[in-house]
Amino acid sequence: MNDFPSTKYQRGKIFAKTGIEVGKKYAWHYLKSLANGHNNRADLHKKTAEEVFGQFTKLKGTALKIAQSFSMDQGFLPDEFSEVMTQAQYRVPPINRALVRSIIKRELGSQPEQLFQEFETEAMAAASIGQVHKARLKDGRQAAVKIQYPGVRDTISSDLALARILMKRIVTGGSDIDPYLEEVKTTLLRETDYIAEGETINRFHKRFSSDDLITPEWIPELSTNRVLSMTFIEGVHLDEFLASQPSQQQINHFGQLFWDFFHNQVRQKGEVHADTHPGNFLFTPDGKLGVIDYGCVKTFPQEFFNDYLSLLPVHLERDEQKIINLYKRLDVLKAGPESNKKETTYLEFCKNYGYTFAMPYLEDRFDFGDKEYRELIRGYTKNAPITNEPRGNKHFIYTTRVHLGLYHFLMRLGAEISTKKSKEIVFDVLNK
Amino acid sequence: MDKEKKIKAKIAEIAAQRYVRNERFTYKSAARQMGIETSEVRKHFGTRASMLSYFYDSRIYLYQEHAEQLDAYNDFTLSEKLSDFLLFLFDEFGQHQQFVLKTYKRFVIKNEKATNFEVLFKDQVKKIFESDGQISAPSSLILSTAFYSSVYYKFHAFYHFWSSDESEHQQQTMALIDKWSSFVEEIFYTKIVEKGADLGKFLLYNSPLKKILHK
Repeated sequence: MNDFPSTKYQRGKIFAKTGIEVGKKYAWHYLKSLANGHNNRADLHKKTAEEVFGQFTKLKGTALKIAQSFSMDQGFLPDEFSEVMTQAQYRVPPINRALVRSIIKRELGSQPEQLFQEFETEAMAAASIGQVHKARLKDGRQAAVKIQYPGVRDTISSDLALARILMKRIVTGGSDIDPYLEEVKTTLLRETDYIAEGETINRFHKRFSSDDLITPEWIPELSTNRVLSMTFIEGVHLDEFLASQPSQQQINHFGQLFWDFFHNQVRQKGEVHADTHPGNFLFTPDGKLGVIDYGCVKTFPQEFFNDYLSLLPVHLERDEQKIINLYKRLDVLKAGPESNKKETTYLEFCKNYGYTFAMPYLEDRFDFGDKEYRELIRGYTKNAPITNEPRGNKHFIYTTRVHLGLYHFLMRLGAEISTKKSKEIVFDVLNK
Repeated sequence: MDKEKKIKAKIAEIAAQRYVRNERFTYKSAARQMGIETSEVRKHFGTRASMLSYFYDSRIYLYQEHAEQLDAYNDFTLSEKLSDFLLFLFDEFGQHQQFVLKTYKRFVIKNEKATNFEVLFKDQVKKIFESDGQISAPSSLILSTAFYSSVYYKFHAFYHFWSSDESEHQQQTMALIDKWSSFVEEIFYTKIVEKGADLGKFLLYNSPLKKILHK
């Protein structure tokens, strides 16, 4: 651990500094675009994003999570942010080996050698508020042990208060970001509770472990609030899978599993795995899809969930009045399009973007490898007219994160999917 | 840790437990709990105070034993070795918290002469620094008796932080030690002074001024 700023003052300084940098860049850009008369924000966003996240990583988990939650195409943070952030996640400074031992000793009562047959003190992966170590249990099973950085829970509230200052600089106008931050706070605090996560692991294992899907099993006797042990899943991540030059058939196989996992969650109307980040999914050697990391799961209120799902049939029908009503219910449109130009712009965007999102369900099969489709989605994310203003029900943070995560994953995979059954699932759930 | 040290450490731990229950515990009660003769306890410790203060000395011996048994210890960086040492001591303190809170000032801080604990502590810190191969040459110039004393005083400051740390499992103390160790490592591993000296030397031999002077 190199740079974890400990006091509120120190963290405040980092935010202030970031705020200043962001402000400076935008001011410079504004002057430049005035002089040149054109507007090339992409470069600027990228530069700004790099600076912001350079600072953000020093705050370890909290700020990173906030940024993550806000970025995944929330429509009010530029796309470039998420790119830099994804890299940032892997740059979070590690917990040193001595501290790892000490945490295990304090939390589980003995040194790692006494508790495990083998324990790798070098972390195998970084988690947002801790890191994961590989181990072998006394009974021979392989395990993944997640360790939380000490005191991280205590810093969440103050980090969020500071993040609010930063966010206010990026988000335009007097938009109300507080409900979003509150939502992030609740989720983050929940993520620090490793016992709750262990119980979630168990619930998902019962619900989804099958011939096609593999999820870890919780090991409660080696878990506490800050140490979480679970069975290890052997497999590779998306990038590594693609690097192995798999056949189109293999690609489609895994893509279908991924798509079906998403829709099975919809069918069961229960908790949803809300962190659709490629790092949370594994391609196992025996052809199963591994789903790991249950820190961020969500149960949506019934009304919101139904409204969100209704977006599909409504967009497929292309009935403008129904679309307007639904987006109003979802707090995306503040008034009818007749009221002002801004709302018209929003409506046009929602109509087109929503329809693009519904496209995979138009026919029985859909090819996510289609380059044109990828460009289309990317175009909407990049050129959204609504950047920098938070809109929509706060639960959108997670539904869009899951949904976009799903699409991005499948597009990167280049999978062709059968969508017939999944469409039936959505309609079934809505008609019940 | 030899056999005698082990027995003495065990006696000191039992004495620490008894002291929390009754400050005027007897040799006899400590011996009985340990399952040995009172005379053997007397053979190791002339006074009850020496028995209690040995609790602190023996924590360092226990640490040395722990470090020897740790396979990865030699690969540890400076910050890992430092935090390992300090965290170990506070883990031990935590297991005898009431005793430490009651006696730390008396046996460790308020002593005109250097206590054994102080000598052992500084020796251990010295060993950690001197055995580290990555410390840059100019930084190593800081290493001196005064420096090791300053680390020792820092330890008292950590003690104060720890004694009022109300977080669960005293996590905040862990975080503080971790941050401090990382900071110290940063200072000692920095190449900035080395690079500065290198640049200075280069400029000295290649400055335009020198060329002018030689003309």
